[in-house]
Amino acid sequence: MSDPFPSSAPAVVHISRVTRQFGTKTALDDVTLIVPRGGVFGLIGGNGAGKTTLIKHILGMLKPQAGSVQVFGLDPVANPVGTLGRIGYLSEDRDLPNWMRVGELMRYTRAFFPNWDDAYAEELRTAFDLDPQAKVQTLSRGQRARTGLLVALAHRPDLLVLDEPSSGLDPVVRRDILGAIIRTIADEGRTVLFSSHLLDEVERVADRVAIIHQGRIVLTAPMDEIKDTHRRVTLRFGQSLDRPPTLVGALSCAGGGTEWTYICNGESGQLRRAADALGATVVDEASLSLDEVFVSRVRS
Amino acid sequence: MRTIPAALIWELFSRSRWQLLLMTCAGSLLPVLIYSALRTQGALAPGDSAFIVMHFALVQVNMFTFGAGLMQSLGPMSRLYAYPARTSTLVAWQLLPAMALMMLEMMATSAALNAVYGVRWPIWGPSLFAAVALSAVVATMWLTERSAWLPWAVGLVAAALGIWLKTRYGLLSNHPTHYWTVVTVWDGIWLSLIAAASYSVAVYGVSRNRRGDTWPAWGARAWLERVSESASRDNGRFQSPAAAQSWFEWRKKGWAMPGCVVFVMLMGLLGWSIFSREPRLFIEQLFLGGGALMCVLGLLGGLILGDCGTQNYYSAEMGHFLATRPMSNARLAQLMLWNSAKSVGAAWLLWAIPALLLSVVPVATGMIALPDLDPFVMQSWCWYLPVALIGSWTITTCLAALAMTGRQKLLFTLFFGGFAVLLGLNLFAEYALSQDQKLTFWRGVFIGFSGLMVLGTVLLFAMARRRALIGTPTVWASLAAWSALIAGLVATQVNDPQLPLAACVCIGGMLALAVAPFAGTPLALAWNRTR
Repeated sequence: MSDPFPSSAPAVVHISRVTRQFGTKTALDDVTLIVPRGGVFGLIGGNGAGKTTLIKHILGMLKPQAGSVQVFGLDPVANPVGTLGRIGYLSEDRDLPNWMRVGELMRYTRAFFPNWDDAYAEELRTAFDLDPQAKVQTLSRGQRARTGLLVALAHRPDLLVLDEPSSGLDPVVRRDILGAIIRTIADEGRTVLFSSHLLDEVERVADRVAIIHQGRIVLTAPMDEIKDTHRRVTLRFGQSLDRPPTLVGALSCAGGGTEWTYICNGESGQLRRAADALGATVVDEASLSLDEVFVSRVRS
Repeated sequence: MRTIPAALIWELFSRSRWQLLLMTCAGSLLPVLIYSALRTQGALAPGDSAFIVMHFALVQVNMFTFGAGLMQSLGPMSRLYAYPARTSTLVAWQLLPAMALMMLEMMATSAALNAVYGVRWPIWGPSLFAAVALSAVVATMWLTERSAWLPWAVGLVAAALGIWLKTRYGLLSNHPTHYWTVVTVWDGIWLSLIAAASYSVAVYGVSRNRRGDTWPAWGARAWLERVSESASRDNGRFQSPAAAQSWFEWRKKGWAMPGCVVFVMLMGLLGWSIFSREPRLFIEQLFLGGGALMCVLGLLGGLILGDCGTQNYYSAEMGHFLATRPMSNARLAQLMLWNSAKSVGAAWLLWAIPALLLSVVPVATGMIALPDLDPFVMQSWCWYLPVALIGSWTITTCLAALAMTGRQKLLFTLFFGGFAVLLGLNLFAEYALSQDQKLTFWRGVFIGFSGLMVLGTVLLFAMARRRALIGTPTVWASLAAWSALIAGLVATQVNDPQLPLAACVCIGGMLALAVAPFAGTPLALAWNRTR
């Protein structure tokens, strides 16, 4: 399930056995992850799980203490021009120069990216309702996110990296961001890597998901596969039990007496056969939301 | 913490104790350096009028340094708005501990300097004044918070306070003639009135900010923005990433040093036209004071030009915006260094051209005759102007490179370490060595210091070269520049040998710092960008 090589497509990002510590705290612990070319890759985890640290390694802002990072086949620390020139990035803290005007920011950013598309930039500016004369300092949180998104998207990057893009934003801005993600992947071969703890968003747009918890990748898989292989199964036993019997693939269990509900990792047929072996009857079976999968994985 | 005052005091102390300690050292560093040097030469004479002038200037430097640290430690008042406390309570318990700290720092510094150097600095007057001045400036800042009036209002209040302080040291139009040793009843009444007025203004200002009112702009700011925009508006494309980044660096930081020079010179001109109007004083202040200003501004300019942090946090760590520019560290460092060169050059020209045209040329051509003009002005202008440029460049770029590392702890350690070493050497020389041994000792220290500077610079170049952050031409060009500076120093000494050999060696070593930023800047930037 935690296959680090999940696709036959060439990797855009290849993180191999990366470890990073800040003092005594281990932020990343032997992390291996491949983001294949094309599609939307969701990186999910709780606060302080290591999402931003991982993204900073991809951007070359952190150097791995152990292991290696390659982006487009290049080391982002040694070759920032080759990697960052193909990345559009929106940071969680929307770090933009307060003293610039929106129009100046567009003009400034355009100089760095030969692929900058003026028409697309203007289209985005109009769609996001941004005044080119407005100072970044005076923008609201949502407008700031939209401005950051505009300059991240307008050069049609090969890899769009969004770190907690929807954090603290209203539904309208969140919809803009999701729309931008969809527009980006509509271009052939482009990739979106976005981290979030808003799992409903990830579930809506991500093709593949990696769950990171306490600096470790606990699951990497296509979204469909995750949904197919994680189920909630309620079993009825012939007699009342104090403790639930062990079910192969169970991540967690709740209940009491004769009825116990398991959150399981496995296909439906396998789970039914395992239940038969325990002498139990399956009284209910349902697929899980990403939210439930995340919670069960993290708690297990 | 059971009470609001206790919580606010605890917050101030716990948040800023190290910073305030650092600022105490920073404020005392200049007097320690000057008095140590004077004592080494046996020229310490506290009763001399020059020492009164020196005290008057140094006490203000100390006041400014520690006061700036305190104001930063107080933090934005808005963070306290949501607390269930009256505005008057919040203001009182922000101002009172800050004033007490300011006063204690001034008293401690003055007492320490008196004890070590016997310089007779008055304790009570300047300390009380510093506390009251802090409250007045902070109150003005709170009153004009987030308005375009802030710099003007603070400037006005600071000028008024400065004038009042000056009158405690003699007539306004003369140099300080005596120490402010006695705090009279009238002084006490004035200081109390200023403190009370400051408190009232602060409460009014904070109350207004707390309920969200703003200052009337009367269109002045909008007009200024329109004017500056029409002057700088350029909708054309940047020809290259380097052009865009150069524009960014200049707009964000580069203009600060020339702007400060213009501001200080205008203020000086205003002060001179009000209080003096004496041509000799104008020429001396423009020429000599301007050179010193260039070097002092280097300290401020270096911190500004080397700042790569975000604007949203009190951190010098490079923000995402700059770190994710698709540009190599070497190129980014080149552009930052070029921006520093433009900034220092523009600031220097803004001072040097008026200094030449308004002082040196008129006197040299006999357009004005000033028999009592300090002869140093006419004797030294041909080397003083370039030395001011080199000094300003060296201070600015070295400090900028240090700031570019984005590691406040490093700056802190270097500053504290340097201060401790200096103090240690002084104490050792004072108490462990005889008069003859002292001379040999300080010669050794100067030569050792010089060697360290050269060795450090060589190491920086070796590291930058190994990491391919600079090319071989840069190494050779830097070596050539350093050699040229040394040759200039040697030529000056051959023509007119005024400095002892140890001082020459020390200056030669320090001149290596003029080229050190060519290697130090890319290294610092790379260290900050990738952690």
